[in-house]
Amino acid sequence: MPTDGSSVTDWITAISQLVFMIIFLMLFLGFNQRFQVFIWSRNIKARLGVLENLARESRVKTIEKIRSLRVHAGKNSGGVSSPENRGKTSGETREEKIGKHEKISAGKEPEGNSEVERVVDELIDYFVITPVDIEPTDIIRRMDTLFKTREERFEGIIKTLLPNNSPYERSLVETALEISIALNFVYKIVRHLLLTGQKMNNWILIMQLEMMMPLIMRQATTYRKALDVFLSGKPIGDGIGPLVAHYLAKGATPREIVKDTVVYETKVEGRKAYIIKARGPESNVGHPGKAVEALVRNARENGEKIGMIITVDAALKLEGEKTGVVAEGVGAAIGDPGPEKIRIERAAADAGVPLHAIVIKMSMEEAILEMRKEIAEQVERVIERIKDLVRTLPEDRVVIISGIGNTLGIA
Amino acid sequence: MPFNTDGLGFLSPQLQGLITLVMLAATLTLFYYIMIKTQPKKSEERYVTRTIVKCLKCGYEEKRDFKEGDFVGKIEGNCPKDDGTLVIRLIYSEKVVEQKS
Repeated sequence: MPTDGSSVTDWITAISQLVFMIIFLMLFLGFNQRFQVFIWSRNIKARLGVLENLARESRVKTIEKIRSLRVHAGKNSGGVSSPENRGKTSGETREEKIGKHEKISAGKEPEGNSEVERVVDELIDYFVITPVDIEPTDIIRRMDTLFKTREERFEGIIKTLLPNNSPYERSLVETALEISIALNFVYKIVRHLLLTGQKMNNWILIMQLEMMMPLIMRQATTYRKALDVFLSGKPIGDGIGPLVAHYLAKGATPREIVKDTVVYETKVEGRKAYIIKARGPESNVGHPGKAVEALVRNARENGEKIGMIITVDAALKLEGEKTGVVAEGVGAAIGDPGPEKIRIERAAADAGVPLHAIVIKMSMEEAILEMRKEIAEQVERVIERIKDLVRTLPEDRVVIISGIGNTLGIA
Repeated sequence: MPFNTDGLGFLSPQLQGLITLVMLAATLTLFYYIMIKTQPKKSEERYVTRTIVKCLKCGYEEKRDFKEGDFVGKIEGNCPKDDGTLVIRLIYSEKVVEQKS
């Protein structure tokens, strides 16, 4: 007869053998795959919750900023349609003014803070349909039209919300909205892919999403941190181009050459130089392509001989590269989808002049968060590289230098 | 006795059960250890934004904390040394590392 001790160990042995047999059977029937998908889905869902919070926080912060700016500019809680604001020139159409007057007369709650929320929620779902690319003829002109439409629409709406605020304050709100739109979009895409994968039992889709999640989370978290940076008005890493332009300008008076873009006339190494940057200290990237195009056209009309065009911009570093490394190359150093970049390239080609690029390497996080000390300290080195290039020109030549980037916090 | 005397196996049932339990515990411990060790170490890097103000005349420089409204090129006032113009020349963030295990 077995003893009590041996019956316990018999049970343990039997149970462990049964467990191993079940695991073995499950492996053969493919339950391991379903279990893996379950684990992945659970991980993605957890991070989706984080993405949702990031999107929600950015929306709330944007709304709070708009409200505080309205108060700061002296708007009352009744908003645009309050009685004391009626009749004031605010850029509204006659129909808009009548519509709002009717609402107040009807005893409805005056628009104000609720209007801000409504407008922000509408803008957060704003989309741009990419132009047809199977027929690439005049695609640049078509892209230009789409971007211009979007830009003007956003500016118009923000001006309606903040009619009494400065362009600087409106630019902060515009950037905050862009970040909120991006975070909302990322959250919706990840949610869509997860739900689609679960519905279709598509484990490959779930697996790919799980593999991409660390990168997505890193970018989303950086965007959320960038919102705070932009709302505080601190210069970002991408502003290194405009910072170099600011230093080269040496206090010259800026002249607006195209919308949101200024040019300074100065001298670099004894040669006449046109320095282009976006108008600061607003959060603005300007239209450097249009500015270079206009300058080249004007210079040729005035009989000026252009010697070279130099673009200065931040560039993404590869993993392992040091932040702040300055590199020289050829081409238009601008991270634009096409319209501005092609204008710079065409201007250089039409003028028959070399197109040089000087970049300062940094990571994506460093580009959209506050400018790091290692990046800011490269200004003098970049200026030396520019001077080296300019010294190769005869003294009667004109050089065009464009500082590309977001000029937040840089006049 | 650890060894089975009835010829059915090398080890007695008690010892088999004990070995199974020990191996299970060791596997779980090893799994947990690997999970913990492969997590990236969290070191919270704190950044502080500084504003560098410089006198255009004598080159006098001062560093202070960023305050809202600062921008590069902003005129801050007069230099305490020679009454020249004080201008904001740089705004950047510096790292203050706090290691968190």
